[in-house]
Amino acid sequence: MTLLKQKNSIAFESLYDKYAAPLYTVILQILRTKEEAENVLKKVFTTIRNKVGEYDSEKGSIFIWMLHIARTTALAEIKSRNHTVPLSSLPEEDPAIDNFGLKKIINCLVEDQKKIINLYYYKGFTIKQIAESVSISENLVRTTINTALSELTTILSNK
Amino acid sequence: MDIKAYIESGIIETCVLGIASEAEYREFQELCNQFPEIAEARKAFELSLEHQLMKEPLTPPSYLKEKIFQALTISGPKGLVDATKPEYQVPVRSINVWKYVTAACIVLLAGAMYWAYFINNKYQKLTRNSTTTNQSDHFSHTDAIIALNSFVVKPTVKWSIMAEPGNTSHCMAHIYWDSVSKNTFLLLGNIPKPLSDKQFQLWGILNDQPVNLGIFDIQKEGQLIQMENIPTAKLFYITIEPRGGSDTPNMKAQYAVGQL
Repeated sequence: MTLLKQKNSIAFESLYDKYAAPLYTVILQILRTKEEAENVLKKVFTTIRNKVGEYDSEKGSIFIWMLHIARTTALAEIKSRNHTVPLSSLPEEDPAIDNFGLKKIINCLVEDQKKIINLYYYKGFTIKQIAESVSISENLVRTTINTALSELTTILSNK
Repeated sequence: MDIKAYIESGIIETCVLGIASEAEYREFQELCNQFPEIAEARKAFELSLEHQLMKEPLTPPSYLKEKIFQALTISGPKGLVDATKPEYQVPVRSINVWKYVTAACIVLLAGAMYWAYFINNKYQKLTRNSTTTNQSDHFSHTDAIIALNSFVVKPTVKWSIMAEPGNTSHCMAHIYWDSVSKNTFLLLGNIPKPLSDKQFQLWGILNDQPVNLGIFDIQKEGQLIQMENIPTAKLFYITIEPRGGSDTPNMKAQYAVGQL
């Protein structure tokens, strides 16, 4: 970690070699095109280099910290190209993209949970937007998310 | 507070995935500090999530790495420190091949002169200090001279200065590693002795993990120590640990770093 904070090129290369693929997977699952995912991965590693001094291991692992950066950068990319995405225009599931990583586990959830978690985590919808999109109360959206995430832990721990 | 209910509520996953509100996250952070069970549950979810995401991920194209690192290295003061090149290296203008050859000859000559001076210097120091050495696992001065002379001239031996982190001009030691025999030697420079309850420990980085290469005490400058072998390594560092050594390095007490 010290070497990373000193911006040592070899330490960064090791970090890239270990974590670029899982971060790229999440970015691609959000953005859906390889070209955009590649551009965002570049932005993500630039942010990691610029902000690594701010990383605090008390607040979670380095991978989780990088995962947040990857997800928020990819969602910002979506927001920059369009303002709202109607539910009806959400892309179809693509096994070549969606059958990996966390998405693979989310696909094991029941249909309602899967839809809401996808909107929340991969599309960056707010609870209010999800409630309006699927015509249920915000409270029910919250409950569904919490139940789904709890299920997620159970599935992951059985893997 | 019902800790079990909190752990099972899904809030830990919400916070780890970065989709919690500011207030939820702040409360979660405080509870992690207060209740070890919550901190453990967080760690367990983080690990299982990392494990799942690392399992058969989609691979970015290979050209992307070069593109990214080119951008990371050259973009101004925030750029990466290119640890594979010495700091004094300056950009070279386009010149003809004979200028390169001449420059290479001068560099080789300078290198040879440096080594001659370096070896002789160490010989003098080791000879002067030979009567005080008493550590059985360290080389005697004669052995040291023979080993150093025969070792450093091998084409398979790589070496580097080990300098104080953040102050590359302050040389603490030299590290030598043979890519064939895997032997590792440490030639000490001017290192102040630590407190009596502390000891220096050498580490190498193997597969991103620190590997213990042994503890050592300072007898004198110019002391040559054979450390543990390591199959491969690019980075080495010295930390100060409690006497007897540690299983994991105390990175806050990092003393010197060297890169082959």
